[in-house]
Amino acid sequence: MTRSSQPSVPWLLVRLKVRLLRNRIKTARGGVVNAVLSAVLGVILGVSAFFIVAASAGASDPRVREAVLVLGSTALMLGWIVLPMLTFGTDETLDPARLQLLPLRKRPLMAGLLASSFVGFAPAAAVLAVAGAIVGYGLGPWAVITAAAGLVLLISCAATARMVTTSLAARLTSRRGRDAMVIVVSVVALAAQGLRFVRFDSIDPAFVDRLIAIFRWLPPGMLGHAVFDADNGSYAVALAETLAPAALLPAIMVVWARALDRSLTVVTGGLTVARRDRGRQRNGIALLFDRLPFIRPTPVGAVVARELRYVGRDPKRKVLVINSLLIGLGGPIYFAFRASGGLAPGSVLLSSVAGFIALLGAMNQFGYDGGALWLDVVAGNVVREELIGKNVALAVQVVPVMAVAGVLLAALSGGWVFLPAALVMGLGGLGAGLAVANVASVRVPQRLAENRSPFAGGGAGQGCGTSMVMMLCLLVQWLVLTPVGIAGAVIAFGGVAFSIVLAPAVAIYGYVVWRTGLGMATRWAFWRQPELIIAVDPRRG
Amino acid sequence: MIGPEGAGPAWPAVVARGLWKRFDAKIAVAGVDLDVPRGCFFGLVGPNGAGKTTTIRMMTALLRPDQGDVWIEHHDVWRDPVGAKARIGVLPDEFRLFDRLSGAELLEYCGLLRGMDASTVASRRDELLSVLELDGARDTFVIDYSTGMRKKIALAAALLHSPNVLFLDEPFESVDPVATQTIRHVLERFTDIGGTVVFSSHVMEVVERLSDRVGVMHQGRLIAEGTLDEICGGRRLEEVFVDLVGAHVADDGALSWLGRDPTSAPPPG
Repeated sequence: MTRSSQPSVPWLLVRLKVRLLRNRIKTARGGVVNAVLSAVLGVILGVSAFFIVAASAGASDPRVREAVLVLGSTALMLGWIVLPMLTFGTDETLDPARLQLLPLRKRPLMAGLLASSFVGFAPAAAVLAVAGAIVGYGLGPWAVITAAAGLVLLISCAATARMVTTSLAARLTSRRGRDAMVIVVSVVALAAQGLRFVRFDSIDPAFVDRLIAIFRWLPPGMLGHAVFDADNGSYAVALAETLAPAALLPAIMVVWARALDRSLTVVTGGLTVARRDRGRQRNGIALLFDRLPFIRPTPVGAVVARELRYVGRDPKRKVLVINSLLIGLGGPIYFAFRASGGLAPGSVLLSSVAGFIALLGAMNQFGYDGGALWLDVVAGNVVREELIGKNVALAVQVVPVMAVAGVLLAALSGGWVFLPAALVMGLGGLGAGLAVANVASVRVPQRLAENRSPFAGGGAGQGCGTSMVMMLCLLVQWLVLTPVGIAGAVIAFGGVAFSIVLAPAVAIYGYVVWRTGLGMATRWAFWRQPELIIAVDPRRG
Repeated sequence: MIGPEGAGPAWPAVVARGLWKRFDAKIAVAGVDLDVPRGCFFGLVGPNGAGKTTTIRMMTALLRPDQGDVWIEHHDVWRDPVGAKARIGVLPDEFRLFDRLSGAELLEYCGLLRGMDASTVASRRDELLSVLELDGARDTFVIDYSTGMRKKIALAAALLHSPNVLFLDEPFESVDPVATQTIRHVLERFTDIGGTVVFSSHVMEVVERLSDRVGVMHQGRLIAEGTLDEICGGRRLEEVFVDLVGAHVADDGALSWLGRDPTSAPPPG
């Protein structure tokens, strides 16, 4: 082999990325399904973005064109920055530490990383969106400016995203940093869900104008505005608006290069020190809680205590708790304020929303134990104790939230009379829901991604195939919960008198279903514990 | 309380018959028969990929064999898992722990989960932490332990319920000499009082010094098994091992490029 035939480093890195994607499709569980779904999603997103952007060129109102170009390009950059953060755990080429030992010069390394940013379905969709702008707006003598603006936008997006992920990777290598990041990303993701409640048809056009007025001066928006100005014949302005963000590129590259240096050479620690003041302990056992004396020093108590200790210490579980707090308390309050003509007293029954959210997280209870599950399995016959312990721990977290939500709703609506029924039925519903969750946890256990990267949150690493099984489990759960819902509706609309019969009936129903589910799960799992370990251990995938 | 024919009081602590395990196309363990007498320190050696870890996982109810049976102290591991697990302590390879518990909490968790009473758990916890020199780190999260400390806390968890048989997969790998010494002392005390240890290791010197009996695994089979004297016959275990597994030594012409200037251009062609 002669030197001239050696492939260049950037080309090698692009091929590495292609190879990694291909191998993941071949080897990962449900890899092909995931790839097909990603491709379909990428094509749908890309093609629809292409047509929306291209079609906006024909809009008679210049404000529509300006909004699509300025806000669209800003959204593109934000998306490009945030998305790699969420997939950090699964995209090896994004992690500079993996290239640490190779004698690579920085320039070809950066060129290669930048080029490999464009490999994948999501980048392809982004390129299609930009192509939509070029086709829609760029057909004319100003095509060069439009194309240049699009190119600068794509490169800026990729470079800024690399800069941000590399800087964060360098700074968040400590455990505490990683933990904090998992929570921040999840809360941001949840906040993004909140956008669903925004009614876009009622947005004031003046508000959009204000947004455009701000974002058109930021680099991505400025590039979008360059296309708008070129389309309007202001070529000089458009050229300036293209060149200014382009001039920023070297600065982004320098910051990225520095972050790359730091991430390749600096290792930061994150050691916790002994921190607990060890005073008196109940039975001399530090694991148990002095303030929760009902947690006994028994196998079930051990599991409850471990689960509750983990709530404060494991970011994945913290995320679950934060979600059920935000939605469980925020949801009912949102409804309370949105309700027109005053809040119905029966809305107190909505207090069990928190329990419902917690049930979603309980579908994969052993997945959170991951590779450590062997420690329980070697202890003997503990599946039943494990499940009861996990269920009790969940109830300990959720019941107070339901109670607070109930009191809040009662205070807002005056429906205090519904509060006892709400609490009893909330518990019944929790039991019935946990029955399905327990069976799902042992029948379709799922592996969670190892928390090695700053951005691998709970739920990462689950394939679409398993998501479909999960949807089926949720469907079954809804079916099981239907009688509870019907009883709630009868009480809410028929009158509180019904609760005298229905609330105890729901509680008994919940307990019976819970016992049945627990028995089914225990019998299934007893002889399948080795398979359960393999199913949830991320290292044995 | 069942076992193969002829099971009596003098029956070995661990009996494995015809253990088979296949992972896709690769046969990891191809019919292993093994008897480990009570109070024995049994060393399992073999090159990487020989099937040691798979064998130990199958003997400890962590991995289901495709075929074969294992009895621990007369209890069939796969038909009476509860009885068998009550009698064993396990330190697997590449193990994960509930590492956001402190060392002390982890031991308490393991003890309570096995149904031990709180005062016994507390006193054994303190003793194990002290003997294994982990007192100073008892309130530190296990996630922040070094590799040696993790091995020691996992060993403590394996010993807490006073098992009859200990299975240890590579207990000395990535462990510094001081921790190695501590672990060795604890294991020797365990066998002195009648406990049985089955452990795998790459370190021949450790196996030679600790083991009463040795098994050599190669390509999924147990190709030699017996007392150290029977296996070695006066030679060093390492020599015997290399002979048995037929180690491939590169011929003189291979790797001739080693030692060249790495910055020079490769030869054309």
